[in-house]
Amino acid sequence: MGAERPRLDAPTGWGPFSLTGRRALVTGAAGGIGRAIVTRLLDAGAEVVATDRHLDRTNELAALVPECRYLSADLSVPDEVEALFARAVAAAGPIDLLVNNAALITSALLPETDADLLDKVYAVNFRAPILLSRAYAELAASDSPGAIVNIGSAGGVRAVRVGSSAYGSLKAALGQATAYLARELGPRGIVVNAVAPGSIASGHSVGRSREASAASRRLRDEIRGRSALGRLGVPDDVALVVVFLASPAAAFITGQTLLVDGGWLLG
Amino acid sequence: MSGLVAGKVALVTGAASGIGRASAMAFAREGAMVTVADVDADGGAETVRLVEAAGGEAIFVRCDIADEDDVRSAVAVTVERFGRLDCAHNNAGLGHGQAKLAEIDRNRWDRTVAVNLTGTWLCLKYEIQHMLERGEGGAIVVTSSATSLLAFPLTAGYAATKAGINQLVRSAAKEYGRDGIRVNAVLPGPISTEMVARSFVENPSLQKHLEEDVPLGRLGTPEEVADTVVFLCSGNAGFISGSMLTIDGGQTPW
Repeated sequence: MGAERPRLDAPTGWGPFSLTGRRALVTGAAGGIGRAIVTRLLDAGAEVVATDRHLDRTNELAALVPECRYLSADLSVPDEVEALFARAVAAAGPIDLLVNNAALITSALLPETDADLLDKVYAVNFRAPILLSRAYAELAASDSPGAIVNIGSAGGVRAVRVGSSAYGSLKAALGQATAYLARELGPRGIVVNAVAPGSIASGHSVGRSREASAASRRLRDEIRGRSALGRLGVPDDVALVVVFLASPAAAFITGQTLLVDGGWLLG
Repeated sequence: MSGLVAGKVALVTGAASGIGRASAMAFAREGAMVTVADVDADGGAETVRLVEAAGGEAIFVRCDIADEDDVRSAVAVTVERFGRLDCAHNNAGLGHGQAKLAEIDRNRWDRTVAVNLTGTWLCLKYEIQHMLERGEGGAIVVTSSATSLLAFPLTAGYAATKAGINQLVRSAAKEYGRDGIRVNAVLPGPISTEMVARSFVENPSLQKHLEEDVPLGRLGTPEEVADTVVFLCSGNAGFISGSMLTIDGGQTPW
């Protein structure tokens, strides 16, 4: 492991939380939460195939974390989604853990919520994870325990923020698909769960307009004020929960959406 | 020392058997010193023996969680013996026997409420008081039940106390989050414990029905619940508070 790689506070032991011998595909791997997930899966002993649409960010991650394979794919294109899983298997071998993390983060009031925006959010945030789950169920090794972990959102559990009707509603749909697929794939021993992060300081605000940044700052202050723990989350908070849900320790948990929100939604 | 809760001190109630015993052993395996609290001294002693045989450190405290003095003393003895309390698994609970709502015996109802609801509140009360006094936060997990979300027949009073527990967890998480205290609930579904085995004896069709009704096609193990509890008490779950986590093989369809 490269010395320049920023080390997160590594837990001292993994025990039944270990992912040794497991092979994961992570989408949206170059974003803030995606990077943390990749890093933690590797720490927990898994092999990782990482995919992202952003080449520059992916190259940056590949330089920091050279021990996983990288594939580029545009998840808004169904053919690319369907090919991605097979490419991952061809590159690394059978995949037994799918982390659907990639998402378009949109903020739009109703006047801006047009057909184009809805189609884009639907394609990446809902259609792609379902198509990947389908490919996974088709190609996953039948003799090993499997897990799908979807990254949902607190905004898919409650209407936390005006302007998130498209994003939040499709996260809610992903949460519901999580429950359905858990029932469908349970008899095959595949567990399907979702993590619903609250507000995570993940660096997604880079490149935003000044107005958007100010609005985002106000929102974060408000969230900090409402959250039970009095802080925003960091990507590692989410990544460690993904590792848990993928591990043998969580083998009887399925169909769940686990809030990782610092108690934000407690009211 | 290694493990998810290395060097921490944990109190587990109902630790003489089932999920509580597995929890005590999982805490110890992950590096914690454990207080085994239960009304059953023989079972408690056996849990301590099992922890020690696995290389861990544990003490037994006799504790009826419905008795305020017992609970106060369990926390005090833990602090006296191990110096502090970082984690708690409030797991002790009992059922009122399989009965429809209108047929639940009044005395069994009262005992169920006294242990499951009042007792769990007493545990939270004295654990939180110690954690506030010490000022270094803490993590608490309560054993609720998947029955708190659905209307499983013949469990009305038990399920009502567990639904009450869910709300205690949310309130505690909200009120003490700024003090660094996280509080969460696990909601086990069908787990192969003695309590569940007893309900199979009372209602023989239940086992087959359960296994067919669980998408994963099996009962869960106490160890699976225990590992989740230890995870939720560890720093790996540092941003989870006020959450309810169902562990039921997919039986609850949401």
